[in-house]
Amino acid sequence: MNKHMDRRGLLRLLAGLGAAVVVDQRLAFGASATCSGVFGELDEAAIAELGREYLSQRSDAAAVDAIAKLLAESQDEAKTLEQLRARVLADFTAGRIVNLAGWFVSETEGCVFAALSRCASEV
Amino acid sequence: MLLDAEQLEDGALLEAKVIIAGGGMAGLLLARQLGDAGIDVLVLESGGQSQDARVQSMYAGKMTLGGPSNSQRTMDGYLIASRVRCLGGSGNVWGGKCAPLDPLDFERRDWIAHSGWPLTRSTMQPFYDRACDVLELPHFSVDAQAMTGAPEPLFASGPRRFTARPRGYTRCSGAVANSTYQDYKVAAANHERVRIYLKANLTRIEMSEDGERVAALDVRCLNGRTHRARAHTYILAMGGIENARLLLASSDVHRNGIGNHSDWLGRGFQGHAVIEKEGQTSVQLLRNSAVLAPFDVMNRSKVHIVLGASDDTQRALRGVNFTVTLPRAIGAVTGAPAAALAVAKKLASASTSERREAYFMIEHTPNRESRLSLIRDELDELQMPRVRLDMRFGAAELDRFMPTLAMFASELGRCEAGRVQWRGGAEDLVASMSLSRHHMGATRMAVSAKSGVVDEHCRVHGVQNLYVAGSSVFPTSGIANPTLTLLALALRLSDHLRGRIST
Repeated sequence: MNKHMDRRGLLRLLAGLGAAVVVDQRLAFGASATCSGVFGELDEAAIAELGREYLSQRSDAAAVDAIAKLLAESQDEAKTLEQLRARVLADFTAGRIVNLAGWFVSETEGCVFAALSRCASEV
Repeated sequence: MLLDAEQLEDGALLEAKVIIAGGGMAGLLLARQLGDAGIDVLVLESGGQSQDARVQSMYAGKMTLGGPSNSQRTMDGYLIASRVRCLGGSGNVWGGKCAPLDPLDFERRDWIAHSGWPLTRSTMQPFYDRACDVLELPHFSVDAQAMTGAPEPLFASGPRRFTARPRGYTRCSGAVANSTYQDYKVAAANHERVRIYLKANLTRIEMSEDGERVAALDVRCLNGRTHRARAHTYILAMGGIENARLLLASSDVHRNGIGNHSDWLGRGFQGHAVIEKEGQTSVQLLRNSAVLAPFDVMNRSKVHIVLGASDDTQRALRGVNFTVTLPRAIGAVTGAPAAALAVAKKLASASTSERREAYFMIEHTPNRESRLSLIRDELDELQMPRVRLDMRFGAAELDRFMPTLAMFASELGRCEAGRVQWRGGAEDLVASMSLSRHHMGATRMAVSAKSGVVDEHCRVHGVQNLYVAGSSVFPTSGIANPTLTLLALALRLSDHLRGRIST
């Protein structure tokens, strides 16, 4: 796979591969194993690193599942982004933050990285 | 008038109404103020008109920096590098940054041991205004945190947990372009009521037999000559370390040092530490950097932004002063951080962004274990005991760093203004510190001799004619650069003395 992944590339690859290969038990979730490219072109290795770091600090797979489901079922990128944005703002307001790669981000962002890295792992 | 103590005949007696020990920023301002009131003033300055390595070596000593669960650092060089022993003192290398202490800094905070001044910010305000006039700066309002009328786009809505902290920059400092500091020194030296003896080192304060008055001062020159100096009133203005050193060393009548009724002399030493890790401490703005303009309230030549925890935030967290300074733009991150920030940018619909270098500062609270003491068996060339500084940060501030930083990061995120870079915990803060030249607290001000060295008029408790000027009297130190406050206190002291000394 190319170094960068985008929505089109991911969907094509996921469609071609069919069933997902879950490489980490913590990444297992009930929703279909796909993700969205709402964030545009991202460095796959970097996202995987962030996702791993998040999961090393947090054990709440359900929260990651919820974000993955949101991304997977997204039909409207703008709407999905707005939903994520609302969660992120709620996190920051409540002080729900995590330090990843030396940066403070919201828990929702951490879940986004974990969900996106799941795609990378499966592909 | 500038004079040279080394040229006096051995055993000379120097007399004046007021003797000021130390020709730095506080001492020279006091000399002018008292001279304006018609009072004859003698200033005894250890150094000459410029720095000299031999004179500077009198500052040598031993120093450690530490804190709970942090590795201790040896920093002996700091004692020489952080101050200047010549006419003008450390003002010769000062960058000119000015800010008043905040109202909360003067209050007793029940969650911080030994906090509180016997003065309020309101009491100090007229003296702050006059100090600003001396430094040719605009006045700071009592509630400087409010920045009335100025927009704060970084924290556009919700509670004001962090606010801009105005800083002024004066040209009346030695280390700035187009400095006027030479004029400041000349104004004192040329005053008709002021005599300044250079190369005049104080080695002992001689007390009266009853210990209630200063009888005279011992003066020693590096050419071997010794003199005596006598006055109605004495003011120590030798700097935040030397003030305590001389009081501790003058122990022939008061065995534990002058003013050391409650073992506070030398204790409660505070400094201001910058906390940063090279290349790992920054703020990624998710806005155009133009949003910072309102924070650059004093319009220095380069944008220099200071954001601080509000008094309400400190109360809510039972925390301490905390600031984030954003001096300049730096290069973008790469790798995982770049991906994280790309996601943040998308979520905030940010079309532009900028990464700013950052450093954090956290208040050093009064701590009895943070102290100056004397090394009795190590003497300098003047036979004065060398000083030992054990600078200790405590759990009161180290344990509040991460919660306060996390709140700052949350606020930036909540307002979609940015993300904060920092990795580490309370246990590696001391290793990430670089110290400023601010030396505070070693002759702390308190209403009672039971909890301090000087009273609210800077008079040494129990001694009728001895005063201390400078940042050593600060019981707490906030985060504001101390010079404006020490000049304001010097002006207040001069007013106090004017009414008590006949011309």
